[in-house]
Amino acid sequence: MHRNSRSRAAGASADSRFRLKFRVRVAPQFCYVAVVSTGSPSAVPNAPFAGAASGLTEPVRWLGAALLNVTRDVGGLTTFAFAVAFSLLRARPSKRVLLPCLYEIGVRSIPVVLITGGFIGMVLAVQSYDQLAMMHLQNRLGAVVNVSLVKELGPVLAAVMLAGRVGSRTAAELGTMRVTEQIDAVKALGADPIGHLVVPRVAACVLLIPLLTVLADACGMFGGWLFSVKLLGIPDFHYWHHTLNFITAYDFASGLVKSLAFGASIGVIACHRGFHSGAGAEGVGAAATESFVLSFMAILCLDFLLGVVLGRLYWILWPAPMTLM
Amino acid sequence: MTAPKLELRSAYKRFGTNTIVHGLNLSVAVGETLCLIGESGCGKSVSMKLAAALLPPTSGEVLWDGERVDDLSAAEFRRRRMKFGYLFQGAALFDSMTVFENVAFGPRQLHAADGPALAALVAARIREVGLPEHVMHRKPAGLSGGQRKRVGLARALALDPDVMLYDEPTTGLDPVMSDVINELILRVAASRDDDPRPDRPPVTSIVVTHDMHTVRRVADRVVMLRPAPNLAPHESQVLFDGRVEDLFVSDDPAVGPFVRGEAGEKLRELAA
Repeated sequence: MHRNSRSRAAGASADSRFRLKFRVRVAPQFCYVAVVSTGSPSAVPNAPFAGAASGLTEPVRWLGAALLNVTRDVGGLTTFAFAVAFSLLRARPSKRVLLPCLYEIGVRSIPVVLITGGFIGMVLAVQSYDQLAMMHLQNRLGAVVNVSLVKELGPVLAAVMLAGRVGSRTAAELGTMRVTEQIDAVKALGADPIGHLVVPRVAACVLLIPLLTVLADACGMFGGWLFSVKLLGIPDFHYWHHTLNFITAYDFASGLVKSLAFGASIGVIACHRGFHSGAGAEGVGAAATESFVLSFMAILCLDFLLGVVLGRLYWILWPAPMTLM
Repeated sequence: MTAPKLELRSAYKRFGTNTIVHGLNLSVAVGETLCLIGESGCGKSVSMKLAAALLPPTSGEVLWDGERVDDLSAAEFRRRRMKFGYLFQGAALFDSMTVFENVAFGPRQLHAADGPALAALVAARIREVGLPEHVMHRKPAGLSGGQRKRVGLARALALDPDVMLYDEPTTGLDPVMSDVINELILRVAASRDDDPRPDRPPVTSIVVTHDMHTVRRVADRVVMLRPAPNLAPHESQVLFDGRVEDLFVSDDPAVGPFVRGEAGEKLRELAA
């Protein structure tokens, strides 16, 4: 429509162009009201340049619709998160439902977290070594690798693995349950679908992601040590000495705090997308994809926000500056 | 006069801009078996879910035993919750659970039974629907369509419900298995007829179906609905409401061909 109105405007006579200019510059609000209030430009009898006005209002309409959708989605997600929290306060999930979720979400995620953790530690060592060697600081490699792992990469990596492996699976599973009326069946049998299906999954994500983070940290440290000490020849003593000098209990705790927030967001987003999945295979597939994309965005946003907040808190509690030297 | 077991008053249900249920007034008496029929997409299943309060109406009222339930808080609703049995169209068995766990789900939720009592209850329900006990340890994926429907029925019966709701119970089944399901519907409906206890009223049933054989066998009363989107505001969605015998001799041009399965008018519409 936008393109059509443009071409129409280009082909108009000089007089028409003047009138169009006047119309748009002098009374754009009039055009907007005429077009929007009647629903379509063709519904305005003899409205001059209605098409051009529509072309101008189309982006506004598109933006408005997009904003409404985002607002509706965020509102729905927030309401859903509150419903999960209230349900958790009202009744704890039974062992019969919680244990399979703990196994699926925690135990079965261990191999992928260990492998990716190990490799990311080695990659960090590879990428940092040359930079530090140029400044003759290669003996401090342990500090760079391990601080990065404990504060940032361990929690983020474990969360991304969880979002990919568990979040998508949960969204697809709940989406299929919705499509095949299994969620209605839960309700018909006297159970609360949120309490029975969502709370155990969210609880399992929140409870187990700190443990997965610790495993990712440990494997990353091992991978980094293996590459730095055994292959690059950095002395073992220096590697661990600088690591211990630069890693504090606060770094470790802040990584775990981040991981708790990541776990809650992954669980809530995955269950929300599954609960509101569209019909059929296409709807379920879309729910799984949206779950991963939204979880990934949430992880990065939370990582940034918590990074700022926790970093600021550190400087308030321990004002002494630290340097690599 | 006894209040209807379930009642919808001027109920509307819209999904987005799509109206599915249009000002529907529907009541089901205690112990009655009501068959809901009508062309696909006319809102039969949605109406049944509205009556069972599985879906909230967009407007209108839902009453159980004469008392309004659509405006209750979640806590009050849980307290008042009527014992429903719902047989879903595809059985809606929980894939991750065994047959035993599926059937035991309702009693466990309501703490109605546990341990050996629960095992005995589940075994009794499995036998009641004519399944061998060894299926209890299988997952739903390993069952045939007829077996799944019967497990779904056993699960619905496990809570000894006052109201049974069947959503297309014979769809996708062979004629013999359809007859087995019809017979089970009749048995469930009659299961409390001789029970004098006041807390065990006769079982009330709603059956949503396209199967006229099922309608002939199980219905006390039939309601036929028409699709809501083409209705004027004052028009009723109910095309027919009466006894089974009257349904099959109806001379209404919309009812007769549907009941006899004649496509004449529809084919002309398609050709146009």
